Amino acid sequence: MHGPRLGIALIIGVALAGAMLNCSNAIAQAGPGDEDPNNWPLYHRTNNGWRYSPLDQINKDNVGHLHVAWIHHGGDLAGGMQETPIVIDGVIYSMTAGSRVAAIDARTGKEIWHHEIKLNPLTGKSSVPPFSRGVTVGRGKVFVPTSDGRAIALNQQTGDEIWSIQLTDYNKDCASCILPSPPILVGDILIFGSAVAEIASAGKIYGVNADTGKTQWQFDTIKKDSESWSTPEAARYGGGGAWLPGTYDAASDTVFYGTANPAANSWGEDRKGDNLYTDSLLAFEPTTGNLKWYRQEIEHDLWDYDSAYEALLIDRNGKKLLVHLNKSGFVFVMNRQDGSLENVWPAVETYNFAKGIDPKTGRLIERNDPVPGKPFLACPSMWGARSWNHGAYNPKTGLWYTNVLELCDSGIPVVDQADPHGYAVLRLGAKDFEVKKVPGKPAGRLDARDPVTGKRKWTYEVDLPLLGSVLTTGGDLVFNGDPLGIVRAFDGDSGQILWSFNTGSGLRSGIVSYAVDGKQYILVPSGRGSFAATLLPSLFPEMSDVPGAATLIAFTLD
Amino acid sequence: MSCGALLACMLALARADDIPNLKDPDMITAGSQLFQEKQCAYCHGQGGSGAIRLAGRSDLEAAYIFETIAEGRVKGALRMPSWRGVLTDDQIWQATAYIMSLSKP
Repeated sequence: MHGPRLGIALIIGVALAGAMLNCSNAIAQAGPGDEDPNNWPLYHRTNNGWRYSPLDQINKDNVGHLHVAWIHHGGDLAGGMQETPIVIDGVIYSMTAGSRVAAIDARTGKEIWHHEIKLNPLTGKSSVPPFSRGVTVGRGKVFVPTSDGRAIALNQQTGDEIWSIQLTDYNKDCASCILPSPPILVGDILIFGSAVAEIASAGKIYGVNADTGKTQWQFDTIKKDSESWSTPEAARYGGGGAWLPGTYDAASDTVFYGTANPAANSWGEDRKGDNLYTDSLLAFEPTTGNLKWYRQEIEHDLWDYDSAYEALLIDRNGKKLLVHLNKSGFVFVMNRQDGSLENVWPAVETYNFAKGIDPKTGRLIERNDPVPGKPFLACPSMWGARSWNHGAYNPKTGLWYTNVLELCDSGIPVVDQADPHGYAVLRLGAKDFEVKKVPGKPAGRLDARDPVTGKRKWTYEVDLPLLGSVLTTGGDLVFNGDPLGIVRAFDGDSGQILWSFNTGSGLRSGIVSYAVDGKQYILVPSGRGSFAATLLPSLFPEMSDVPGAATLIAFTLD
Repeated sequence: MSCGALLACMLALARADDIPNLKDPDMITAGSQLFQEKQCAYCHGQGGSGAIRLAGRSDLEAAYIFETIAEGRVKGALRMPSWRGVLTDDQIWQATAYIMSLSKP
């Protein structure tokens, strides 16, 4: 009886095909980076830190036809747009500047709800206006990190507050103990890192129950060890902290976080020793905060070379690797299970803090330490060989796309007294401090490189600091923005510029892609803000007149 | 105290007869030391010649500078932090004296 069976088979076949088409740009889920293709559910989209969207409806052939679908204005301009928005099932969860969270319809840009956070008035005294790198969504809640050191959970459907806790000692002994980045969510544990370093305090990483807000554990990034920190006072205000979101590896149940530099930046006379766990990549258990292993990338740092940046989880030739850019410009390629080194390679061309870093041991070769009381010239500058804006890895091209800065800084190391009420006093540990261009070299590049060997395939050079996070897609495209407001789409294989658009304000945010109702969108948060955008116009005057904004711009095809 | 009331209070304080002698060399020297110690040069550049320029201007007024340092100020994407309570009023006047000394004569 073939008729009915054939009929049923046909119905099932059609239903399956329909389901596939409903998965908008139905991508065969081939491997890491491809999961949940229509959404941007996590800070780096997937847990491996790649900032890769497998969507390919927008591709090299048609990206030139991108047009604006809608624009959303978020409100407060001060601080700009530094977030990476989250997009889940047609809803965007966005945080503008430091205090306004909104849920926005991803098709139309219309707001569904918003929640304004009233910040501690002390935030008016801090060195930067309140800002945020975004929110985290999960378990029916939107988790919000605040510029006054609180963690807040909102109802995902309504934006109403569920719980709010004061995580850091903000307002007591740590005016810079803010939470500038969204937490990562592992099961029912939220993990937050505090920002400190240049304002007097010592940073921590916190594990918080996502449903109740109860603190489960704290990890002190300043190790209590008199050999590591020669004076207790220096350790008390040792800096550290972990100010960017970490990476979670489910296979090994390990969370990776990078820590910030020791304070004061250029003055280390009162903190002789290696200054653990600053400038380190930490691997720990998410439920307990127990440290599994760590790799300190810069021992006794005197240049402000944080290890806070993203850890990319990449498998190569059967090895499970972790690719990690330190602010010095050196990329540490480690084995994920124990931090042992596969390679260390320089992404930056101009460096003099050391002759190099040994690719086998990770040791600095012939350190060039600033000397107390004597002028120094340090390359790369304290902005780093890249600022915190993230790169992106494309598994189809096999290339890591990252911005690079070629700048140096100068000053004279002087003694620095920590003042916990110096809310806006930066502990540079130097006087006459200035950032300088490298003569004859464009300050900015977007490099396309093999992440393990460092071999470069193409580059885009411009004499501007590139301060936005990169997006790469299954359409073999790379999206990157500049501080004048231009967002560009590059051919991921060749670097050819295929499309550009003037968003009207500087780009300091994470560009993302999502799909809803069968249509792919590129979402660009545009809004000048951050230390870098405020200070670097002294070297790049064309950045001075860029206006502020708090804008989300969605692009699509017809 | 509301923001508006505080502002009115500050402006009242900054009446001409209440403003100290900002051309006093000791005031200017003390202000320049504060400028260094508090890393004002980070945003304003060495000698006020940086991205948020203070040097060589002809539009700055003492009361406005005092109020900006004490209360902070927001303009578009940029925000000056508030130093009230972190610096004493005397110190804020010293910083004001130094900044006024950077203006065009």
